[in-house]
Amino acid sequence: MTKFSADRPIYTQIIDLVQVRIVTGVYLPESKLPSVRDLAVELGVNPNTVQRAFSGLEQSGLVRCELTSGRFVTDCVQLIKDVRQKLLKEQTEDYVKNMRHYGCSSTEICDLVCLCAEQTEATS
Amino acid sequence: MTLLQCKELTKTYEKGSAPALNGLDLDLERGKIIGLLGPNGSGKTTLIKIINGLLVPTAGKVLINGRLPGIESKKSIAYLPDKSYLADWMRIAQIVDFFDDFYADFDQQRALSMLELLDIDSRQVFRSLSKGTKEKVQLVLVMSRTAQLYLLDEPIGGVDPAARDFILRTILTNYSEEASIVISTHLIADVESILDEVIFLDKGKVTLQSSVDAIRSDKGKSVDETFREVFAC
Amino acid sequence: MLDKLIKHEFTALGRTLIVIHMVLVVVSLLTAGIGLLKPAGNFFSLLIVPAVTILYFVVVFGVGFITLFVVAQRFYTNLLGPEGYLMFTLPVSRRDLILAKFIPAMSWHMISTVLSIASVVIVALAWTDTSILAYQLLSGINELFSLGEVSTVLIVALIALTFAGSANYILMAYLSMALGQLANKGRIVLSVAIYFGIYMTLQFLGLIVVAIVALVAPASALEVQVVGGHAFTVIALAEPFDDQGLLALVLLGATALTLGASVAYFFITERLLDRRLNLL
Repeated sequence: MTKFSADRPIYTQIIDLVQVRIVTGVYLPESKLPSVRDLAVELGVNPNTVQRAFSGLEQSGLVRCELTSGRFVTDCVQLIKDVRQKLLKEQTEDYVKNMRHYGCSSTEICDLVCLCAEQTEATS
Repeated sequence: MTLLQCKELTKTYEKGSAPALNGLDLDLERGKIIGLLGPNGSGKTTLIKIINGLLVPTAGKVLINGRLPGIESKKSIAYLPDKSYLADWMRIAQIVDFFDDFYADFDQQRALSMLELLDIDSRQVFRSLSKGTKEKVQLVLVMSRTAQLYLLDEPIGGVDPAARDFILRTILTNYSEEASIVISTHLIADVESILDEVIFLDKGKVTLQSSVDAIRSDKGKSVDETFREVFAC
Repeated sequence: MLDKLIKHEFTALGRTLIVIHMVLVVVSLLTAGIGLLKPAGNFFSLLIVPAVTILYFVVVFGVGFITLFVVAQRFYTNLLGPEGYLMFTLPVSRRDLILAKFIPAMSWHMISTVLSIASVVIVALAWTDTSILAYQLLSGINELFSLGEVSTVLIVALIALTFAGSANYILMAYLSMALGQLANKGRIVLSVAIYFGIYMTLQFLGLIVVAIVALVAPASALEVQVVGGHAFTVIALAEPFDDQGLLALVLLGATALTLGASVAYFFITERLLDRRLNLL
């Protein structure tokens, strides 16, 4: 059972989760998404909640719905790239804000990030 | 047609004492998983018993698919009480046959495969099972029915976390747009993510009926937290 | 659905009652066997005979009482205990639930009675020239037949009354339990108390009726006595009656009254379990 945070509607959190899966290639472009029921059971949430999340994703264009065959990830690679950028930007902004909280300067932040990135590249 | 309608439902147990249900109004639609939440004595069990036909209201009425509680409504209601209610001396297989005999919508195959999945030997006598296993068996029986209204009274209380997961997963897998599942529970945090709607019951009346999403976006809090606030001692 | 309920009920009752009646059969055969073998010697007569006689009577009467007890207890456990949550949410009527208890109960009671009578007859035949048992039995039967030619109508009326009496006791027990469950505590004690309460009240009413009739029409007092006795009519028959036809009529009257009471008990029980069910 996936743990969802308490303060936001679950469907918005599912939208985020699916976006991440699309961007990281768990759900490839043009591939078929799991059914509402399957995803609901996997995440341990109400099927109507998943339904709502899928509707949201359809509106954003990341997902399209074929009436008889189900839901598919978009084939528009550019859109996926844009979403990826947006997510990366959000992650970075959160991180930087956090670092500022500790009183880091821009240089310090960049040094820390570069160091960590080089170290993890060695092992990954 | 609305699946369940309660109109000014009142139930007083003893003359002079406070009513367990006090002019309760409630409408439930199909295709939802609904949490029935409220402190002890709020009237949850009384409400469930009246819907089941185990109690007769003092005033007001409840309609299931437009009908008063009776043989017809019992055919479409699947009830899971919060206690052990099966004949102790019977073997699980006999109990499965029993349900098959009396409920047209009971799927014997589904029950047997669920029991197998849970590694429960159906030749065992019910009395010999552990508490947790008894509860799982009772849940399997209820979930093997294709009812229109499921009434689950504290389905996950007193059960280990793994069993809890199984129970919630089973509820989700059995979800259908034709039916609604009402879960009466104290353990809100555990079930919140599978609920569509919640109903807060206090002193025999409905004080809140809302979708889980609405509560989270309006109040920025989970239902569990909202409940604690509303019913703070 | 009623047939399924009845089938299930016989399964449940059979668990205990088949065993008990097996015991009856075995003990009867043993007792009869001992009677037939008749080993000689004082030791046998002084010790075994009384012991066997006592054991036998205990079993015969015990089986009757145990059957009634099991039947009553079954009603209570299955409908008024936690199993009630299952039974009363089944898609069946209250009436069917009660009938499904009553019909197997009556059946087993009759089986029990028949087996007991058969047992007594067989044992008596086996012990014919040995003991007190046979003597009492034979003199009893003799008294019964001292009426001379026993008319079929009389026999039928007797059987009908006994049958009605049994149904009455069972339904009275159900009613007592249906009333007892209205309370939240001490339900069993309350049910037993109510049972004896109803029983005593009926006996009392019967006595009043006899007293009134005795005052008004002394000659017919004896027949009314019979009516008031319900199933104990058999004892009243010790008084030789001249007019068997009249007696049969009186017995049938008693049967009608008993059946009327039984039907009343049934419907009251049904109503109580429908509107005043109090499962804890």
